[in-house]
Amino acid sequence: MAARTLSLDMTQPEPTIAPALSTNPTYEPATAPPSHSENPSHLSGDLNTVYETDRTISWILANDYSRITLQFPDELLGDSTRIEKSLREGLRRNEKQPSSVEERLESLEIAGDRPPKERKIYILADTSYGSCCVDEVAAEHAAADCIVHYGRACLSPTNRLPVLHVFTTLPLDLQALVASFLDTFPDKSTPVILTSSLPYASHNPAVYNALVELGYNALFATSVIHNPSSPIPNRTCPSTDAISTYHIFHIDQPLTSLVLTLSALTSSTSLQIYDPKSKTTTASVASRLLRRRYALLSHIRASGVFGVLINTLSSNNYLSTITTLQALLANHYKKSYLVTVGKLNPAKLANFAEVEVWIVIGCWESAVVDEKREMWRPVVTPWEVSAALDGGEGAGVDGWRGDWEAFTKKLEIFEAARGDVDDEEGEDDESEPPVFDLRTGRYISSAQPMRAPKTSIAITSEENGSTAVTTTQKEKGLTAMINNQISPAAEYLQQKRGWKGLGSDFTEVEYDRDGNEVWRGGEGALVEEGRKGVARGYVVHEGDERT
Amino acid sequence: MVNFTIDEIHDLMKQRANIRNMSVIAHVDHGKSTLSDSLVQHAGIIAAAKAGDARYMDTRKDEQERGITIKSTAISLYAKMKDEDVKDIVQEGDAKDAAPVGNDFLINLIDSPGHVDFSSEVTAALRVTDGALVVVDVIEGASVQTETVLRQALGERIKPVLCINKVDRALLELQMGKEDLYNAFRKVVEDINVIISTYQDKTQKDWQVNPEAGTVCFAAALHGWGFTLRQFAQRYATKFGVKQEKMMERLWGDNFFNPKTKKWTKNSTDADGNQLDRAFNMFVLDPVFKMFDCIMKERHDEAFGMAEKLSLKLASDEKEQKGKALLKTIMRKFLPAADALLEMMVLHLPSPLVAQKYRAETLYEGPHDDEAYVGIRDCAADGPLMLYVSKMVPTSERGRFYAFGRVFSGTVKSGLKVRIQGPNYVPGKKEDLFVKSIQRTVLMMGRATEPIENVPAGNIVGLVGVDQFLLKSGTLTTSETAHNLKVMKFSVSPVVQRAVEVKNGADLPKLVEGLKRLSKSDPCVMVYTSDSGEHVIAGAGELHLEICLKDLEEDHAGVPLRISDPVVQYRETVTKESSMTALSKSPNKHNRLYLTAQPMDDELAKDIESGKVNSKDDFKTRGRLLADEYGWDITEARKIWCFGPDGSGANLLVDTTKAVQYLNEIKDSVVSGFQWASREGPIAEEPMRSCRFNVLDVTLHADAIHRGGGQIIPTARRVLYAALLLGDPTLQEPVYLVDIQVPESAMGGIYGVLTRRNGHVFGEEQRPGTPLFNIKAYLPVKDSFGFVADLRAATSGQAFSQLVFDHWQPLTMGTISDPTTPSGKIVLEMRKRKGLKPEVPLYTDYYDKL
Repeated sequence: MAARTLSLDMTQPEPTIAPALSTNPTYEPATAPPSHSENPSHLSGDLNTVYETDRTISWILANDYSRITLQFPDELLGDSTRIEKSLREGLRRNEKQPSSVEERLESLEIAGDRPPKERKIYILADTSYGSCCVDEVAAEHAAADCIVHYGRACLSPTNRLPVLHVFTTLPLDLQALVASFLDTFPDKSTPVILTSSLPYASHNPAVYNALVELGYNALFATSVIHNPSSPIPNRTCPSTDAISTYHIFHIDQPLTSLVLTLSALTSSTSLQIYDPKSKTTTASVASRLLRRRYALLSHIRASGVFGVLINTLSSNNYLSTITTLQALLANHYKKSYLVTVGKLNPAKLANFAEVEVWIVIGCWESAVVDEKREMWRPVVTPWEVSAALDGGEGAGVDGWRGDWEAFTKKLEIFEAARGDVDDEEGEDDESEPPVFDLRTGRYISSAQPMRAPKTSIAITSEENGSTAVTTTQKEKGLTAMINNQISPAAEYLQQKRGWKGLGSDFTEVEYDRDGNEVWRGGEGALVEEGRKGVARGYVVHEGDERT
Repeated sequence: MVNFTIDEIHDLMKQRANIRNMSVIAHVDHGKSTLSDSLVQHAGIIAAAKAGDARYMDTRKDEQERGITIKSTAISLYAKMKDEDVKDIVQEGDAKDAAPVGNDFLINLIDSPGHVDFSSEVTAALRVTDGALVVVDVIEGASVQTETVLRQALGERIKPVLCINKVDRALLELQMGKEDLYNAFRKVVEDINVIISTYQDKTQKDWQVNPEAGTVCFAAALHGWGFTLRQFAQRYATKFGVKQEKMMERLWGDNFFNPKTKKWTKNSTDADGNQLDRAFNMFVLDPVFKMFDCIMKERHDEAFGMAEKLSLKLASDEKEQKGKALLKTIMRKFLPAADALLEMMVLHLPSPLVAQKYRAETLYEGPHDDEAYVGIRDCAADGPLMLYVSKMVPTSERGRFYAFGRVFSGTVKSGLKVRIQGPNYVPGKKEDLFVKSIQRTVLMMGRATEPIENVPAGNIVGLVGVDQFLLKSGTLTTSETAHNLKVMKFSVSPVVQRAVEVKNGADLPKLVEGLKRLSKSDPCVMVYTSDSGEHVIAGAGELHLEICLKDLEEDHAGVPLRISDPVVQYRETVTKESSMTALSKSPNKHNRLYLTAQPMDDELAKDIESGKVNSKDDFKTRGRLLADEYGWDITEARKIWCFGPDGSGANLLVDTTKAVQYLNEIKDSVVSGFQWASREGPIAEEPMRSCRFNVLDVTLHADAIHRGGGQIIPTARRVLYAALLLGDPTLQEPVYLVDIQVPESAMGGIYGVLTRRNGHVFGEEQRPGTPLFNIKAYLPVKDSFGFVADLRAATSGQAFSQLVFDHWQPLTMGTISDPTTPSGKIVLEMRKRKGLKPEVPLYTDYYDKL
């Protein structure tokens, strides 16, 4: 399975083949470890328990939803039809069994003007962004009034439709876990936070009780809450002051973003990960991960052109985050382009050769794309951008979270702090010093493309206001302008690309027998009006028939 | 004590024919700094008594402690010549305006380090000077480092003059006879001339050094004395009634004087078969030997008598001295080293006016008829400003630097607004181009600086206020059309690297700032952050790295650091042509790239690295060169798409396709993929080297959107990897050339150490007249860590070694994919360190079936 080879988890068995490069069409940055397919729940026979059909049915009935959408991640899709069937039957059964004679009578009475509600169930697959996110837009296509989300979820707050999360509980060998825990923390007074991936979350109280019975007295068992901005995303946690004294014991391999978040909370050495399949506990490799992420910060500082990727349409506040982010980049004279490509994959992102760094605005789980070896340009989170640009050299990133409200606030704080410091403008006709690029150890002048460059000594002639791609007279073709706006993309086209579009390659270089160059062809072709319209039928000229 | 003022210097600066810019270059410990001291002493900045051990030019504390020079240091000196000397000034080219005005001369002297690890400092010094004083120890002779620096000087078209140093050692320690000493001198002169004729630009006038021409000086820097044949010829010319030039010729070579017949002869025996004394021995060495003899045997009266004859005045307290101290005093009065050196430099080194005429074409990247070129060629003070900053010198203010450079054209002054063009500047583009006013111009005077109002063409200058715009070097100009002055090429490359980490996480910002400063302060050190987040510092050798790290920890960053073990950089390459054509398909399967890899001529790879074959060259001349010298097909040679990595490395991507549609359109994408792939290869993410990739065929989708960068860039990378892996890939490791100097008695130990470290000895030679042996060997860099200390232990400190990067060599022990062999182990360790999966990928991982 494609998703498996791309899994980010460090303790997963090493892929037997090299990381698939771009030939892999299905790229999903934040796939859960494919535990389900290795341990297929539909073979266990007890689908209704795993998928909590009873709870789902009562939730639907209680709220009286009529158009229900079921969202499955790819690895659970195989069970979808059976779940749908089981839900449909369950709903029918429950509706057919009014509990008392009175009700039966009532229903008979009303039957005339209110027939038994017809409930429709839709299955959503191939989600637009990540399967952890609730795909409200897809649900709206089916005019749904509720969504049941299966599998691992990032629990990002949604704002349009009511959602029921079913985490699909997996079995856990309690004995083995306790034994492993004893090995890891022999001292029974060690403060430990117990946490787990969602499929194991329901075992948490049982684990806690078992350990307390053994005499552990400083444990903290987390429980699931819908709050990605909690210090431990979506989990309760001890008070923020005390948290750094705790060790963390995590059941199941966490996602990269969670490893980073957790290891930023406490010292990275105290994050222990229990693997329920191999039944062993290992210390996390977070320090290497963290270092890799911090290396990206210098990328951000040294880059001039950013692509802001919208990787969610449902998270609360994503619009305000975009605005804040754009303002932040503009403040630093960086150029940003807003792009949406659906699910990320290297081929899609590499199409934008101008963009130097991609910023993903998405749920906290899918934000960390640690596939450097595949991506043509690095992909970072808005948190990292803010730390890199506003926090100054060496600032810590304080989370790989989805807490966008806090993000906006944080930027305001930075803004206020900065306002005090530098208010002085440099001399108008002198250049700004270049940025030291830590990646290469060189000075680069392209880190602030939106600052009008001062490259000429003489101050001459007025700007010309043409709307075509022109350049200011003053800079003698050094800066590309579109509508009097500096345009790094136009400049890229002008200076870095060898091929500049159709017609530009009409002159062909050939070599004669002596190896001398012969230039063939001349001017590019005239631009003619072409067809327009939708693919179903184009219009050649206004008024013509569709062809 | 200063016997010249800034105003005097400023006046002199305008007299371009009266300026000499020169660097002192030599092997380590041959006495450059001491010799420079003699000169500084003459210009009167430090007290006469201290010259010889003050090491005025060593400005850093550790330089003084270690007794080696680490940074090159500049100083301006003022010299007044006698009329008859001025008359003898030899200048090439047009004599009219090249003739000096008056008897006052300005000498800008740069003392440079001798240790190979700091060769980059020498390069930076050479760029700003026109002449080089090559210092050679008469006992040790010309060594590898002498050759290296001299080669660099000649490459920059810097005229050399020779100073044979440590004559005192030859006399006192080795007790050499006159004829032996003469032979030792002759050997050095010959060695140097061999190097000069090997590396000198053939279009130039012959620059061989000759004692009889006055371009060789014999000196004992520690004692502060020295002489040229010209000085003796002057003394004897009147006595013998012959012309001075004639006399100089007679004082060298097989010229003998028969005292009985008072005749000159070419035969070493007279008519009766009696041995005759060589004129050099008789007229030059004899007085020196006598003086030594008298003083060392404590026949003081005789010595004082001789001094009187030579009309040397000795103070009464000086007469009290004994032994070496007295010798020093008398010899210094008899033959002051500074006089000899100044005379040689003023007479034989070119003035900027002369030098820039022939240097302009090698200095300037642009066309040879624009205003900038003309300004440089004419050394025009009123031309457009062309100034090359060759290095950054730390100021007393932490984190700020003086930009140190040479004005080749125009005049630089405070407040002048200039264009600052970094090394990556391309005319017509805005990358690496800045505009800034110069805050102040200063004169660099060893440890001190003196502000100066303006500096005209032909002079060396320090600038304040432009350091934020230049990392290490760059061009400053006022001309909008000026191209860059050629970027310096270093003879050493940073092949040894270490990673640093802060001990205390909160210090990270300081480390980052420190790395930036370190990178500025050294012309050669490389500082970067790897993708895995390590801060890596790469240097030319262990000593270089040690000094850099010490600077970083104590000065630039000032925080405690954790430093990793040294690591070697490798290169990935192919050993034969790909066994079949590599094919990869794009993600959408609609585009296919067909490619092969083949090894490149090693000479070509070297020439690309040395800049002889350059990505910026005109493709026609480059094509011609490739066809003529490396046997390339001329059509293919012209269709090189790019060099890589970084657009300039020693890997080539060649288009060998025939009539492919839309090829132009995907060229950019393939080039991007090539840059990416050649920067980190498939074996261990090390850069590629010496690989040539041929694009054989390309099939593309007809719709532009389906053959965009997203489809092509990753595919190009894959197919390049596949082609490399199909070409019997291996790693190349850097190899040092080791030059060891050792007395015969301690030679056994050396062979032991070299064998243990996989060294390969290829040369062994005894220095004539000494018990010293010169051993030359190749030593893999990876086995060289701790070599110097090891060698010292094995020879009880008698061996002296120099290690300098020489070439890349493929790993031969086993295969890279088999971790049980030594090569495989290296790869495995490297992959682990970088957090890659342990196995080397197979070509099938990147190859797609049709």
